Amino acid sequence: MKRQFSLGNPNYLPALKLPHIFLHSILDFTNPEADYSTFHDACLPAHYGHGKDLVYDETYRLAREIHPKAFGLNFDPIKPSNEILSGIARLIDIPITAELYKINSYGPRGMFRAHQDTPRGENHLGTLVVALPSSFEGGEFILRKSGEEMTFDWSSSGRKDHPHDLHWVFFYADIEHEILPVKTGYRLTVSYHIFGSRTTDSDPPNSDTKFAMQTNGLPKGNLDLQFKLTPLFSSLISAYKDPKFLPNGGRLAFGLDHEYGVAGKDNVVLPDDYYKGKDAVLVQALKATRLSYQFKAVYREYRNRECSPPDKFATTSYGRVLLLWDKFTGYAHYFHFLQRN
Amino acid sequence: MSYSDSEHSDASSTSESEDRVRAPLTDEETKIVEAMLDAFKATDSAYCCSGRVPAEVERPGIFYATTPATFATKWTKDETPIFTG
Repeated sequence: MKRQFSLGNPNYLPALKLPHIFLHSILDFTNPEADYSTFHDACLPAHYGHGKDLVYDETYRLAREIHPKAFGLNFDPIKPSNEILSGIARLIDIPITAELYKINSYGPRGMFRAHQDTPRGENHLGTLVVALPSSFEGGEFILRKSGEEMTFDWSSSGRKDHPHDLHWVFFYADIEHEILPVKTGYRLTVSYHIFGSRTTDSDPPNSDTKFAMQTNGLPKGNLDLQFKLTPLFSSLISAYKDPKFLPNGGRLAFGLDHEYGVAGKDNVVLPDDYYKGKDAVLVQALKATRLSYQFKAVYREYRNRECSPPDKFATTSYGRVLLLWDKFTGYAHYFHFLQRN
Repeated sequence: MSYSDSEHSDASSTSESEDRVRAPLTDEETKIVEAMLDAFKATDSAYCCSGRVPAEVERPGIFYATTPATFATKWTKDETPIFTG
C-alpha cells in the first residue's frame, strides 16, 4: 500500500554530526500487532519548562516525545475539512494559526502532573491536542479552571464507540491540565500551538505608547445589542452614569480571568484580539462604554506551581495602587485599570 | 465627561493620583464595584472546546526515525540530540 506522509521532515538525520545508521519505521494504528514500544523508544525523554530551564523529572512527568523533524503522519488532523481550527476560531472569535509542535508518548505509568503550558508569546492563545488512535488504558486528560474540571478519556475503552477517530481538545494556554498515569499500552497525542493571527482592521499594537492607554471606543449609537443586555455591560454603564460613584474620579482594576504570556514585561500592549474568554467580553464592554483602559501586568510568586512560572517573580509597583477585592486576587495575574476624571 | 491618562505616568510619581485611588470607597461604591465584579465573574465563556474527526485514511500511521534515542542523555535548545552511547 502506498503511503503519503504530509507532516514533519524525516531528513533531519544528516544534520547529526556523529555517524549513524539511518533507520525509519512505520507505526500503523490499524495493525493489532503495531509495535508501540519501538516507537516509544525512538522518542526522546520529555522535559518540561520550569522558569527558563528545561527539567527532566520522572516523578513529575514521565513521557517521551518526538518533534516534527523526526516524524510524519500520513493524515492531517487539522485539514480544513475537519473544521477543528475553524471551530477553535469560533470559540476565541479571532483568526488563528496552528504550529505543529510534537507527538507525546506516554507508556505504562506515564503521566504529567498538573501544570500550565509555557507561554510562547503574547499571541500564543492555547494548545490543540489530538489523540492518536493507539491502544491504551488510563491516561485521562484533565483540565481545570476556576474550580471547574473536565476529564477527557481517550483510552481504548473511553473511545470504544469511535475507536479509530481522532479525538481532540483545545484549551487556553493558562489552563491547568494534568495527565493521569497510563495503566497499559501507549497513549500518543500530537499537539499544536495555537496563535492569534491579527486581522488587518485591528488596531496595531503601539509599543511606543508607554502605558498603552487605549481609547478606541465605539461611536455613540453603535453599541452592540448583546452588550446592552449583558450584566457586565449593564453594571459598567450604570456605574459610569451614577453620579455618586467615584464622584471625584478614580481608577478601577479588574483582575482578568486568564493569564497572558507577557513574560515578565512591565509595560505591555496587548492587542484586543488576544484577550481570552470573559476577558474578551470585558474588553468589548469597555470599548462599548467608551471607557479608556489599559492592560497592566501584575506578577505573583508561584509558590504552589511546579511548572512554567513567569520569568519575573515580583509584584510590580502598581500592586499597591490597586483597588481590588480579595476574592479576585486569588487567581488573576493581570488587571485592567479604568480611569475617569 | 472626559478621560485622561495623564495620571498614569507612573505609580511612584503620582501622589495626587495615589491619594485619590487610596481614598476608601463608600459602602455604596463598594456595592457597585462588587456588582461589577460579580457580573464579570458570571460572564459565560468557555475555556476549551473538543470534538472528534475521522482520520480519513485507510490505515493512519506515523512514519518516524528510529534514532538511538535511548543513548541520548540530553539535548540542546535547538533540539539536536547529543549522543554519548
